[in-house]
Amino acid sequence: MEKQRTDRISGLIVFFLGIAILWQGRHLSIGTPRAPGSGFFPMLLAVLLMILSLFLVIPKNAEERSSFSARHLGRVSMVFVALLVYFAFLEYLGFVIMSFLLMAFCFIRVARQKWYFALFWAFVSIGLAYLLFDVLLKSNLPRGVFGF
Amino acid sequence: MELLHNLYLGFNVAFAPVNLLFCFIGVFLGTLVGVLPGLGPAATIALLLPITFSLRPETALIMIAGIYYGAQYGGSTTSILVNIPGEASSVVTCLDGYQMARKGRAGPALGISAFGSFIGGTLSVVGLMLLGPWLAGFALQFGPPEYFALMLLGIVILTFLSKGSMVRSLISAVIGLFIGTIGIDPIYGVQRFTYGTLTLMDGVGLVPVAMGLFGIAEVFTNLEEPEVRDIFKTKIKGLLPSLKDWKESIGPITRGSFIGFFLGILPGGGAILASFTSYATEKRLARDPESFGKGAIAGVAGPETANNAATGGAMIPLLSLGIPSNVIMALLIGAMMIHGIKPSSFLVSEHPQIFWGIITSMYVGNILLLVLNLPLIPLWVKLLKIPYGILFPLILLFCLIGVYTVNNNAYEVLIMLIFGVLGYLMRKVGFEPAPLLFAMVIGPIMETALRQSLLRSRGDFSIFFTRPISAVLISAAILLLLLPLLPRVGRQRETIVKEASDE
Repeated sequence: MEKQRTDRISGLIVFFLGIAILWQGRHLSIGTPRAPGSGFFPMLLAVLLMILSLFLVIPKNAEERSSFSARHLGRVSMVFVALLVYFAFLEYLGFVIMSFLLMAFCFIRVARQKWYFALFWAFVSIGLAYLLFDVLLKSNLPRGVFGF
Repeated sequence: MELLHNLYLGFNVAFAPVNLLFCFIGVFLGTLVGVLPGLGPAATIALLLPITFSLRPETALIMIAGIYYGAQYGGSTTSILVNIPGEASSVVTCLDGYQMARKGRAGPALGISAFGSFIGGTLSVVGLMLLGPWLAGFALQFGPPEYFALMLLGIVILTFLSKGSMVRSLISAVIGLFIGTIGIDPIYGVQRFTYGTLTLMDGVGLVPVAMGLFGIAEVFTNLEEPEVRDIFKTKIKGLLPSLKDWKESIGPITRGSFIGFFLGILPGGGAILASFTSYATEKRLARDPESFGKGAIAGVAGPETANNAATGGAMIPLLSLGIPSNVIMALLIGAMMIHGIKPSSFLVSEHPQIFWGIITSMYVGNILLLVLNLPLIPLWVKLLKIPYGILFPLILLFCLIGVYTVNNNAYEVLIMLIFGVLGYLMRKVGFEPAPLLFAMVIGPIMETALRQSLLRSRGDFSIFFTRPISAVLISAAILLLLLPLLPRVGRQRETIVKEASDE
């Protein structure tokens, strides 16, 4: 994406974030400078954000801009979706199953390892993690419907 | 006499077997993550916070401090051998360290950086010991306006030193301050931006945010990079620097210790600034400045000493004022609060075993690092060869376990993922995540200080300018905000941060 456009867009997002904070915090009392209320500080920050965003939106010399370029976005989104699925089913299927699937997926699909290699290392890493956190440190990792 | 008594108390804490063990674990893990690209000290500390819950507070803090200065050691190893700085503060080490390695002098480069780090680290601990309690006493005069001013200055310095444009870093910090307001208002007890959810009632958790911004987002960023890592393939021999090496390094090491320590004290400053300043100083003082960048040992010894000396300096504002000077220190504050210790200038008097325990453990840790690292360098080099495809699922796994086990709350996993994406996008468009996390931690303290100041002055903002300490601090902050507008300073700042951003 073109540099100047990236800056404009991020500036606009920050500006609307400021507006969103003002809107979402409208019921908080701002109070007076003499006795600032709960909304005082958040509102101050929202206004600051909006002012700062203007510096991004107005055009300036080329060196200061940043750009958005995406290579291998496929790999990143693949891992992100896998993590979302992990979150969605974590409490239902439990730590052991979900983590095993996640590890195996990453090793096979993203790191492109042989499947037997991937399954072996997924098994070993989950086993060690379970031993360390659940058995030794008693961290209460989520158990799914199968009870483990 | 009192100092001796305190040291005795501290060493009693530091030499307790369990503390020795965790100090060792801390420096070992610190070196490890310093070596491994894609996992920095911030993510590691966030990762290990849950494990520290069951420990005594001093043990937990000793381990976390160990990770911090251990990572500075590890970061230099990759700078020298692979020309990839493990940490931002070892960027300058690449300049001469890698050149030394190419000339077959990797051994002495690694050796002198280990010795320099040890000397700098140890001297800075001495400084911390002498200056810390004095500053804590001085800080007793601080009221809310001074605290507010100091934290404001901290944020401004941090954004000034962040790579990329200052406006973006300031935006990042303001967003962090806002995230800090989510939860219950510290003064009136009103719920803010919680939408009635239990997860947000206590505020957005430090651990999910830190792991998202520094763990998950790093993984995403690294997944984009193609897998090329050019590891230096010569045998590393003769780690001990020769007498000539020592002669050339002793000056840089001495100066580096002082530069590092004093720059480390600055809130927001720290190791990065220290290593750059030391390099610039040595180059200026050198008889043959042309040798710099071509494998001058002074260019390795100075910065490596300075970045470790800065870790001792950075502990000063934390232990004596309760104010973090960088992201890692912000996480340390988080750890203290989890253990029910309020970081403030009363720490020395209320919890002397923690204050002196941490300080003395840093002596022990520095010795452990020296003993540990010289023989382990071949192992670290082997670790560098692990392909990222194998490494990143393990990092993900640690993040997921770490974040879940803090409160056994699956929604915190979601918060971590959200901040992971946010951190990734921020990096893509040139926003630094460090000011966000830093501001988020000090946000509630800063807000309380601001509101208390205004209550005290009956709404008169001039209170920040009529009290001398606060006036000086606020003026310094304003000056720094305006400095980049001067074209010359702006350009110089750009060059420094640009070099730092090539990590």
